[in-house]
Amino acid sequence: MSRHSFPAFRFLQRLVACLLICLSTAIALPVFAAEQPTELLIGIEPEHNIFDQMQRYRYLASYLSDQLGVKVTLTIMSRYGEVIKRFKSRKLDGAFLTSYTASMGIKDLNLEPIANPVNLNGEFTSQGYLFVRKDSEIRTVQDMAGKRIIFVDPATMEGYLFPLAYLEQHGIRNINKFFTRFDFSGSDASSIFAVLDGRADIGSAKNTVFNNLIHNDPSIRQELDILAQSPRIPEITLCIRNEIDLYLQAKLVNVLLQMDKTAQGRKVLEQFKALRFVKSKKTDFAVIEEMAQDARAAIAEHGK
Amino acid sequence: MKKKIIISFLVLFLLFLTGIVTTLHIINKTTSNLSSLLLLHKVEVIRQDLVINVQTVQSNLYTTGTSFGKELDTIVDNVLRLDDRAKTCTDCHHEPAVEKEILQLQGLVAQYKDALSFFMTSTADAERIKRLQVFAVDIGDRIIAKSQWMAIDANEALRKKTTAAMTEVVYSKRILIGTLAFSFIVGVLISLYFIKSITGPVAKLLAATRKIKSGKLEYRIEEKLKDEFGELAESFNEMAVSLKNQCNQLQATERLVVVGELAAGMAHEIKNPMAGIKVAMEVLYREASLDQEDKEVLSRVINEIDRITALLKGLLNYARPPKPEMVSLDVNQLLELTIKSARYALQNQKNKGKESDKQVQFVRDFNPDLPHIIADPGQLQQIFLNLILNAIDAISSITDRQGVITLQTKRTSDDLVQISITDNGKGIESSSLEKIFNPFFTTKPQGTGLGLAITKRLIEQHHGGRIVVANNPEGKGVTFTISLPVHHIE
Repeated sequence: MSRHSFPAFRFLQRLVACLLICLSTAIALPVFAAEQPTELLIGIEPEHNIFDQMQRYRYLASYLSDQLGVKVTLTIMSRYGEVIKRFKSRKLDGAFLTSYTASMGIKDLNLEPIANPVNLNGEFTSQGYLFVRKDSEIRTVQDMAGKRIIFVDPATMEGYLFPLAYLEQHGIRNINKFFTRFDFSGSDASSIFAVLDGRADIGSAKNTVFNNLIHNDPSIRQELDILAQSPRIPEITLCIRNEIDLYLQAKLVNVLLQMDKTAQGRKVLEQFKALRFVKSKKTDFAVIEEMAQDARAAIAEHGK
Repeated sequence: MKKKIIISFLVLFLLFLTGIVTTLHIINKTTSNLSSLLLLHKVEVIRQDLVINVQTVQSNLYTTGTSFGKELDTIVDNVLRLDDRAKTCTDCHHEPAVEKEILQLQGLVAQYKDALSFFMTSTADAERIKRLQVFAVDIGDRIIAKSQWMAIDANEALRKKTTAAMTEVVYSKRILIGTLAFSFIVGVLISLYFIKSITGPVAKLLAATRKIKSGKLEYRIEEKLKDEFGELAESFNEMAVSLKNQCNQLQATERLVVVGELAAGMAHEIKNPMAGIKVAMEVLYREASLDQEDKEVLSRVINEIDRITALLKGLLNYARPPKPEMVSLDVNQLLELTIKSARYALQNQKNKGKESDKQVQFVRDFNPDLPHIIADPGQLQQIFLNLILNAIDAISSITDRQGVITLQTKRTSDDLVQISITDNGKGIESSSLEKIFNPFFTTKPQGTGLGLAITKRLIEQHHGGRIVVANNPEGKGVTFTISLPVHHIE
């Protein structure tokens, strides 16, 4: 009896082991499958002209779809801060983010910065300008008291965080009291035009947009005076959710960094109006955190 | 006729070529018009599409921020589609004025995109946003107005182009029908002309052929026919003349054959009684009781009986020539034998004292490579001997020069063996040459006139054999030339 029961016990053991392996595989497979998306939904923050911007990004999306074997779909945000909400509702797999939203995303959503596009001037960083009309007689922070200021969007480093931090450094915490009025233009260009048109006395904007407008109309430079400049921060960063398959992340990084090495990639870069992509890292955004610390009181005051 | 046919075909070919070229030109023109119309229709569609796109974006613009509002991505797609449509307008070639309008339209679209972008992304206060919206809507309305005006303009151009194209199509159709009708009429006229030109003369030739067939060999085509038919009618008349002559000759030959048969029958019947008479005369001649004068009379009777017998023999040979026994033989060898026989005959004549003592020289001009022929050696030797003896007779009358008989053999280019026997006698009068082979024609007082007739008959019994006679060019003597086919050994 014992002679026969021993092999039966071993068989039972083996059967249970097999069942456990099968069960664990069955549980693990859907999880694994969930992290192998067939489509990557990439968000874009609004810049100068959302239509031209979308057209540029579509060339890149098409190229990435071909290279990754995963369909890359684009969606554009109407506001700078909207992209963070979309990540939170898990509707986005990644996004091309401006520096402040990238910083927020890395901090709050644990997004992974992948790469930065290098623009046609060979730069991948940008900085914020605080500017006034030359005829405004505003030359210092004290001169700004009782004037109208226009920000770009609460989710921008150049158009909101930097001016708040700058003002904080100069002892201005309550902008409601310091200025007679403050507004958000929605875009850097609108902010510049608001100051030029006299709808605001002080404006903040990204240097790349500022320089681009001057390039198109040099008279603007004669009319505006830059009072302060922020440190340089990566202008646009592709950030993706950390949950995305590591292999796909690595492949995405590789495709982007190797783009300028192939004729097809260079053609797409030309259409995308960039020279190449460079590797991005989390430490690039440390300075934004410092600015956020400086502007914490003002942000707490005005929300957003 | 040949020239006329070639010219007519060339005319028809040129007409059809003209027709084809005209048709191709018309097809090309019509296709070009259709392409132009299609292009205008395409332009019309593009402009209508542009208006629809702008209206769609305008509706997106109005409903933005409401519960009917579309998502931003949808609006972006619509605006990009609108932009594509606006850019498509410059893909075609336009008049400078239209080109200017299109560029203005594209400029408006660019402004519209900027205004929309400002409006969509603005975070300013409601008043400012409303102002941006109105600004964008205003540009959109201007685009619609401009597009509709351009669409009306394009419609007008399309209507004009369609009318012009239709007029051209009708005109082209008339040209095509005219060309085809003209080609058809010319083709029919040419055909009728040829039918008349060919069937008329052919009918006349057919009628003439039927007349000849019915035995009216004297019928001639008197009418002057045109072109090759004239030549044909001439040949036909010549053929009728030739046919008539041959018919006459045939009738004469048939008559001769009948007479010959009759003569041969009679000769055969006469020969036996003549033999009996001759024997009786010879018995009487040997009677000793007869005086010398009577014996001489009997001798002359016997001689005349011999002559009659010889004549009858010749007549029989001519009327019923013996059937030749054909063998392959060497003509040169046979001629050599014949010369020996002739010499022997000549010596016998000398012995009898009937001929002069003059020496006859035989000149041999034989081709050593002469091929064999198929002939009856006995008959051929008889022929040669007869001709040589005639030549000896011919030269016996001359006194001023040595009598020479030249025998020549050669092979001709038309594969015949030619044997010529030439004497240097006084020759034959040209009037006699034509009749020399006729039976009973002779220039000799003692001749029967059957020798050459039999010779010709025997030669003609050999397949393809023929004999001709001609006076020598220097006027000294005659030449008989016999032609016989070469024997090819298989």
